Amino acid sequence: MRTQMPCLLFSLNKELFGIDVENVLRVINLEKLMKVPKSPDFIAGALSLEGNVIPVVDLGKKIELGATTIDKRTKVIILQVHHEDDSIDVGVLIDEVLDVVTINESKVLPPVLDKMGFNTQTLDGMYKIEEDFYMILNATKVFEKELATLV
Amino acid sequence: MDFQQEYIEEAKQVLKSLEHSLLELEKSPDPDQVNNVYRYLHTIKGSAGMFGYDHVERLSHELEDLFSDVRDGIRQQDDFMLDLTLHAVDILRDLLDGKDVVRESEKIIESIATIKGTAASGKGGRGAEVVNGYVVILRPDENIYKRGINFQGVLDDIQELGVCEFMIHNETVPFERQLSEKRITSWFEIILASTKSLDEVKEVFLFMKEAEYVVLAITSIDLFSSAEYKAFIALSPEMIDARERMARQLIPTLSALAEPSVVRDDAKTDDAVSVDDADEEEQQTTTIKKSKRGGHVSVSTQKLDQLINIVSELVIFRSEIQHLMGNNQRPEIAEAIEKLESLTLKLRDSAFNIRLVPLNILNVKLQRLIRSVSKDLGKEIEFITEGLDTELDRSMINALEAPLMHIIRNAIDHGIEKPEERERRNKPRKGLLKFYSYNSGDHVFIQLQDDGNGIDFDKIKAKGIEKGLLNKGQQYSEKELLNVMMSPGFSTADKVTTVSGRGVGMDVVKKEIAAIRGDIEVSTEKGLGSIFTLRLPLTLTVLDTLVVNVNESKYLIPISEVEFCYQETYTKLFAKKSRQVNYEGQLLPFVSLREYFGDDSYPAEGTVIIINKNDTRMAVVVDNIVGKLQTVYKPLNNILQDVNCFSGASILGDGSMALILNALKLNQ
Repeated sequence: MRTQMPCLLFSLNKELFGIDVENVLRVINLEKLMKVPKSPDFIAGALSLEGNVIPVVDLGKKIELGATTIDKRTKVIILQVHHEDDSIDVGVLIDEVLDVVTINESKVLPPVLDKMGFNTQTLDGMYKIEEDFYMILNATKVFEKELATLV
Repeated sequence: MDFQQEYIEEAKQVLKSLEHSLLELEKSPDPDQVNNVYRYLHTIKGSAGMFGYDHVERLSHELEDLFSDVRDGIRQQDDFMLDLTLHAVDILRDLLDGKDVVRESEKIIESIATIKGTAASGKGGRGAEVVNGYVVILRPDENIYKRGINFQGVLDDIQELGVCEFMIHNETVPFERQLSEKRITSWFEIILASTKSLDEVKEVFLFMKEAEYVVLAITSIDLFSSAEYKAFIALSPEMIDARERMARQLIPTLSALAEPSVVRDDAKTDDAVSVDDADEEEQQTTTIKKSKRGGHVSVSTQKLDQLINIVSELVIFRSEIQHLMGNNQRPEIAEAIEKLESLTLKLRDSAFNIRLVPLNILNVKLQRLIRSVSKDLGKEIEFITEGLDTELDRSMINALEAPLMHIIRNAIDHGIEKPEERERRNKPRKGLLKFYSYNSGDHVFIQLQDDGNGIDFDKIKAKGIEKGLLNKGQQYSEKELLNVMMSPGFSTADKVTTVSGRGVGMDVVKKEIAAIRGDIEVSTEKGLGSIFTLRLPLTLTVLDTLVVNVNESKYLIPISEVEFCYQETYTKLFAKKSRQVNYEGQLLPFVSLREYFGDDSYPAEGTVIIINKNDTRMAVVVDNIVGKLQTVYKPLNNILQDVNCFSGASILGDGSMALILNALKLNQ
């Protein structure tokens, strides 16, 4: 296990999150989002990236934090989620990118077991920077259900 | 890709060629092919040890040994040996894949040992051809090309005679450049091992002047040190040695017949002769084959897809620029954009072309299938192919493999009769199976024809009734019966053989072909045979679509599925509760996309699109038609795969995306 983990910090619905940069392909502005009728509720739509169709997930809805309000500043993190030998690319809606920091994995506090108003099962843990707590998301856990159908 | 992976890929490629050569050998013994087999085995053996594939090394070594005997005429090839070797190819493949087949591999090695034990007989026997050795000295005139002689062609002809070793003398200008400039200044010394006679060898030089060539038969290894040879080329002792070594390698009979100086010889080869002259020799024996190669590079499909994605993006970006320029563009800019357009389109076409590969890559697999199936069933098959150079998208060829194999299995199992029965019917004992393919317009056609018994419609009808697919008293057209044959759960085989009729049947074939947007058609004549025709789009990625508008969003419908469009008022469409339209006197179910997507406002007038896909018809109601567009098909990501009313998406000219409708899934 690595002890140092570079982490992308971002905010969503006033909450602070972090995610391993290894999962992050890039961050883009939300443009030309295509609606996908009949898709699951948490799908915000799809966008094209280098000629590929990438589904965009409303992360807030996905982790039961409530729908994300889309405005001009909305960003999309394009994640690459690994599953066994396969991987899928998926975009998630966020409000703002805050920073990229290297965090010490031994200092990641275990996730709270209770529901703190959203699905905490998707977290690796919490990390404290100065006075703020960041919730470290685990991309594989977030898309656990979807990845299961891959095989 | 690491080196080991690279080795595996390469070894598999070689195994494929090996397989091909073995199948060729089966048709008729051919010293060239024996040589190829030997060479392929040698190649596989060569690097196997380096990567720790000890079993691969051992097995290929034993096989190589066996074929070196065949090559040297010590042993004759027979069916058992070829069977064994073909089986060994499969095992080698499994070994490379890391499967645990060591036991099998050991068994084969044992079998090889038994073959070797059963007397290395047959030398000089029936059909064993004697390999003769020749030396050719070529001193072409500098202006040989001006006399209308294609010198490269002459060299190719020499290579076709047998195995040879080229030595290029006086190569002040690189030989490849001499060839391209058509000015030959070098001269050549060629040691040739061939089954042809001296006169036959001389025929190659028919168009050359007497003074330009000499052909000498190597009757003894002493030739190179003889005075006769010295008259042509003055050689140092080391150079003579090098030639003698080469000749011995190429012409096995020499070492068997000639003086027992083998010991001295071997020592020399290992020490790689440190004399300058000999070194030079090594360099000069650059095989000409290198310059002849077509030059193939194997590229991972992933890289190709990436290239195509970028190119598609570029095409879209170009139209975006045009869009942004609007009307107020200067003529120079308009011209530049036009140029950009033609270039990007060219780029796109050639990028797509890279993905195309000839059907030939399926050939060996099919031949092996036919071979094993016909042996299992005791049938004799002659397999003829035509148009194997027809090119198709790589992924398509992969997808075609299973259905083609199924059709062939069926043809051999149900179509072609046993040899005895064929004789009774005044047909040749060998059943004919013909595979041909050709391009026509945007499509590739593949036909599989057999001269067997044809499809028995009575049998199909009886079976269909039995399975509850048909009504007893009703008359059915042949077309209807064929359709039944291709419906799920139908298999006419009386027994479930291992070959075909494992519950799956033509319905699976039809489905698989439909999955790559192809059609299958069957025509049959009782007692004369059947023809299966597959019609396939050239590539999977380019798609002609109809762009439709539904509540400000655009969707695409493949044009191949659109039969007819017309306008209809809202009130007329939605007057009744049932969603049906009357088209050509037929009631068709329709799906209003607005309604389906959960909108409850409708425009006063909509457009009805009649969809016809694989003879299933339905109608889709959209707001209006925007236009026609050739687009690049993009699959949907796994996360969106549940949304099965869309088969994919495409990027439109303005950079936005649109989903491709899978209409038949709408009313499910």
